Amino acid sequence: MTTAKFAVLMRHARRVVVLGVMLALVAVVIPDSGRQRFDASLVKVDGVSGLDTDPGVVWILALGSDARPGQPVLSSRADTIQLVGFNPRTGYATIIGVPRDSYVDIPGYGRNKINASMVYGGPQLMAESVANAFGIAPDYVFTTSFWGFSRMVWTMGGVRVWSQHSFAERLAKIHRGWNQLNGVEALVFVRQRHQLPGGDFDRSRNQGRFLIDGLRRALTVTQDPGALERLLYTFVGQTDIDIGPVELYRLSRGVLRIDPSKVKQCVIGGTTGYAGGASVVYPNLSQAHDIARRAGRDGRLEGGC
Amino acid sequence: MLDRVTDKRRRFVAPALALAVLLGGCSDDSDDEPATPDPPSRAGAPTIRQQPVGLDVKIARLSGHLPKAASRDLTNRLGHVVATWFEGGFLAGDYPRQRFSGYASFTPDAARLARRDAAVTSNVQFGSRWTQVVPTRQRVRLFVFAPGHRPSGASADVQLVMVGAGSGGTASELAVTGQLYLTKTASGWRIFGFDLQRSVGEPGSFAAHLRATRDKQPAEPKADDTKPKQQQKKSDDKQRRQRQEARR
Repeated sequence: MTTAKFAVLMRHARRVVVLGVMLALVAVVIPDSGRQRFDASLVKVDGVSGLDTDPGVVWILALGSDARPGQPVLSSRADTIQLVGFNPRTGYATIIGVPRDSYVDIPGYGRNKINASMVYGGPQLMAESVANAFGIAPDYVFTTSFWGFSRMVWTMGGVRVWSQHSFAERLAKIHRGWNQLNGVEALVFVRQRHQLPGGDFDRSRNQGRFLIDGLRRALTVTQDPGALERLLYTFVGQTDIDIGPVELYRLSRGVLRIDPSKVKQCVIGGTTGYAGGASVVYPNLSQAHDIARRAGRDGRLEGGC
Repeated sequence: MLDRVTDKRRRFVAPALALAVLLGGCSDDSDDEPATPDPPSRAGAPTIRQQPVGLDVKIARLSGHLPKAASRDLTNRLGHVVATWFEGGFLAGDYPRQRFSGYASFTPDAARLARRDAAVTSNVQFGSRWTQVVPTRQRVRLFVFAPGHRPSGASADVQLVMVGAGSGGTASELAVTGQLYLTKTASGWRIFGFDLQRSVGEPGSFAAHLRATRDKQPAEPKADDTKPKQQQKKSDDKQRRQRQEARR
């Protein structure tokens, strides 16, 4: 049965129930009616939900470490830098992509590419650099490795992702449009930049896109009772999460309140250039601060990027 | 999601309120009421013949490892948290009544949200019209998140079904189903979130609904189960090869 047909049937059922209740009412108020029971079938008549969470916007800095096998995940450069701000009460969220070559002030270390913060001081310094440069102080930093990321996607049974561009690599072929990706293919999707016209900016856009489609998938796979608990247990063993399990559980329940249709995505713009012989991006800091200010109210980004 | 749910609630509240007002008016003004009822509030009410069903709590899935004794202890603790809500919100106390205080096992903020939705999270809507209530199902299935041998969070799949007798011989069934989210706080385990639905029907409706749902289940396998095993194996092999190549 299609969703539309089901919705029509449900509307019809509700009307029947209301009519039934009214008939029952008449039966009760008319003394000689002889009917003394509700005459209604079982239907869902009401639903409520609520979650005790932070009333404001929660900011998570999601990092994909560039660490190769044997290298420390928390002190290797980050390929993926995405700021996710969401409000669990409203379901609104904003994803801000930060080009990894963004040339910014790193507190205590002078100017450098932002992802060098990971090498100097791990996730903590990375969060400070982001706060310093873009005006958003992350509440949490979530770091994963290539392997951890692939495993997460694999655990969710793959993710269906929209791609704006086609490209092919040894391990994956990505088509323009929807792609069903397994863990390794997903990794190719979020790491590719050489074959994208916008280079690092398009890669950052793909990473944000993946987060939205990944969230959609996560919402589907956690619909069954107990599914979130099982997924979290798997993730805990594969991901560096610097918070306690109780907080992780509550945070995850909050993340699942995000409505994918209420998520806006932006990539911080900028100009490319060279600093000390290295190719860098000079990020548009005023744009970043403006997005942070607007999204910081309730997670909703009105007016676009 | 909340907005959509709120709209649903509004649609229901109007006819339900009309029903409540008219039914209340009918019973209060009735000349058929005995002059000296004993007890006064239950006069004319039918006696529900069904036996009350007790709380049925089990851990349905433990994601992590716990010793058996700890698992039993956790089942009791979480069962108590949910039962506190069942009792305070629906089952305990004399009927008819309008006041319910079932949120002692909620976190303060979750209690505030639950009070806002008291029509579903308590029996406030039917409390003033019912003279007796009998629980016919109190099923709680727990899904526990316990990394590092430490239970840290749980969802409870709840089914609370009760039959209520109203003055004038009416009998109806109220079912509250859905999920509660529990976690450890400084005051012990507490409910910090909920996704609940309420259904109203004639006695036996919920059991009929369960039978119908069970009958449908084999015809609607989960998407992941529909993949033939051969195809699944092929996909796993492909991923294994890709991972090996990626490592190189």
